[in-house]
Amino acid sequence: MEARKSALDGGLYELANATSVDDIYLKESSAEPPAPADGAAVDILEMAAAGPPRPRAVAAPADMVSLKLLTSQNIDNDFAAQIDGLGGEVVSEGPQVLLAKIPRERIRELDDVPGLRRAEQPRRLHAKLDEARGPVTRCDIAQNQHPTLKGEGVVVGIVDSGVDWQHQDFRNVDGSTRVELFMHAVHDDVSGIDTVTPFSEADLNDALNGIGNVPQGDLDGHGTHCSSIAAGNGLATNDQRFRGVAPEATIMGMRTDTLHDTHTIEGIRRIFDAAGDRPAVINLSLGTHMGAHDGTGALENVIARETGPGRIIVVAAGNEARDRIHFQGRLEMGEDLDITFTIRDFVQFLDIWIARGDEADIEVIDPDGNVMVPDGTVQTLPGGSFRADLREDQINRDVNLSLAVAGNQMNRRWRLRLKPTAVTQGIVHAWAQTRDASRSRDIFMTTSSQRFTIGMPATEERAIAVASFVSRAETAPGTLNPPGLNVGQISPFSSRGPTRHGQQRPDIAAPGQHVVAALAANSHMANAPSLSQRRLPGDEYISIQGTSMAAPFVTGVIALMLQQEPGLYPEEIHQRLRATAQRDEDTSAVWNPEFGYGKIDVEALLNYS
Amino acid sequence: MTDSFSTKNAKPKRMSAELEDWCDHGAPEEQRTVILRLDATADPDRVAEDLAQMDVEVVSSGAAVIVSNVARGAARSVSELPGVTRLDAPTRMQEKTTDSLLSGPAPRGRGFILPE
Repeated sequence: MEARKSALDGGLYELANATSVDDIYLKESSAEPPAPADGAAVDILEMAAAGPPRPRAVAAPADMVSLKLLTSQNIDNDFAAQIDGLGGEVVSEGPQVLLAKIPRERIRELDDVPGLRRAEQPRRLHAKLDEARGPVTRCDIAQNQHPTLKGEGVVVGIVDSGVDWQHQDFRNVDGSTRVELFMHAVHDDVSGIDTVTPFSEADLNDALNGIGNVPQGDLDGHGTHCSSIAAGNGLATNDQRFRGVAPEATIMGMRTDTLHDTHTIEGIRRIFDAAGDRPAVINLSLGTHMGAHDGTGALENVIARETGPGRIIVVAAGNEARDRIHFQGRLEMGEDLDITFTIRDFVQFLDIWIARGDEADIEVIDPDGNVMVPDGTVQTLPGGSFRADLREDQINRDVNLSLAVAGNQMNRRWRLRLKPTAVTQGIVHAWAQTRDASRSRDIFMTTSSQRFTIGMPATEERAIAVASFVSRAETAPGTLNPPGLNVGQISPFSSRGPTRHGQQRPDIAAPGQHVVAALAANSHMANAPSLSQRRLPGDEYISIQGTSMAAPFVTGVIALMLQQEPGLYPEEIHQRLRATAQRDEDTSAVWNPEFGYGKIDVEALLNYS
Repeated sequence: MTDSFSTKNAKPKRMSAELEDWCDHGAPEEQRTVILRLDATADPDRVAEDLAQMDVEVVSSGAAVIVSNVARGAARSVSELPGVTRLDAPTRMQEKTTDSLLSGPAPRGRGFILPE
């Protein structure tokens, strides 16, 4: 297969001179090649066809080649006509990715199709958790060396959107549950009251037999996926190819539909209490950017105080590296510092931290240049309403300025002006958050960096903070995985350290890009049309990505470590992660803000002495 | 009211602005879940006892942090109990996938009540 540069736009056409269709096959074709030895092949065209209303691809004639066409955002309306003009046919359309059949001899002419950025041949999907367990982490090697290390006797706790306790991967061979404790936490938005209802292993077994009333395990699907990566046993497939890292661990899970920190605090305490004398590791694939980012928050404090020997908490670093939600500036006498931010939601918040000893007068400026001095109340400018609140933090003694803005117009820039009157440290940090979390990006468009995007509570020293790297470079068609992503590289979204005061976070990187694990039935992930191509046939598993997926991988590994040595302290685990992490051309020198101390090496960890 | 809004005037506050707003508006008996931040030397059992004497329900107790259901009318008194440094409103967090599906209002953090 010859790869060459496109003359058109510099994109890499990897199939410019295809002479073989060895790995081009279609599920319905009689010429379908045998599955590879690991039985993991999943035809992308089958994936494309899995979710209606996409048409199912059919076998192409022998002189036609099936291709994935990655286009720019604004392709011409007659794009399909141009493919037709080449004697080809678009068989499936989606945003920026199309599936097409092209005559082999005309592939080179794709260079002349405006808006086409890349053409790829179909590949067998390796969307599987065992990719993460493979050479990139040496997990399978380690578990072959230590066949009894499967998490037995260790509690794996998941505080998240829940765990689908009905899923086969969380049940024993006899059908009984592996979930010893399931909690349902509810935050009443009207009253503001939290409630937590626990359900025992017996309750769950009764429910599996149609007795009693245990709530659905997971409405969203996120927590189920995380649970599966850490401790699923893979029983929903015959060969258990999607088993988690610690498939014999005892599972305890909390379902919180709102992810409030109060739920997390209670979930941590209840799981550690229920674990009793057994070692326990809890996974938190969640976080926030509203706070000091220095380990002094409530949840960070709970992690610091509740962890200890045999009590470990793992936290996802965050996915905000590219989101422009952080601002860093320097106060200098005689110069105003403008924090310029763009309105992306009806209400958005800025949490600004000014070092103790620095002083500045503050003004708010709307998009039309109208200036107002805040007074702590809701105030109105022509461009919208705002409210600023100022306080000295009782714990770190820094000044915390909170600003809420309800701008009249989206996508317009406001400014918060700091006029220094005394400077000692001079460092100002700000994090932004919108009311609708999905809009929390591209806030600081003028001055922003990827650093300092580690979320809380991953900022807590005693937590194990986990970044994500790529263990497979391709996802299902129709998704927007950037071309050029290579196995071993840091995931572009993975939040970067350090913390506000320079503490080294993340600690370690683990596979988090396109990891296949259990899919919660009747959840958002099971039903969302946008994820139709991520769901594997049978709807038992789904491929998603994030540091959320990297953290439970580490959680599972720590469960194995705790099986070996139940009394390990968080500090010892930190030290071993540092001592064994893989360093290579991807990580370059460590510690660094992307990988922390490097990529997790399970073989080295389980053989550490 | 001063002409300037300056960080040099920042004072320690026992409650976030959101909780201050909540305390000032509504029926005194209405409750909500809050987070009590304890100082480093505080005995959480002792604070829990004080809360019990005020008929305040403790949801979760441990070192450094107590989660409690507090009535509006008692919130300021709770914030001034010995060992309590601050009351915070719960923060809503986000899951860490790029395929985030949990919708609804994002964390307000130390939020505010604004006209919407």
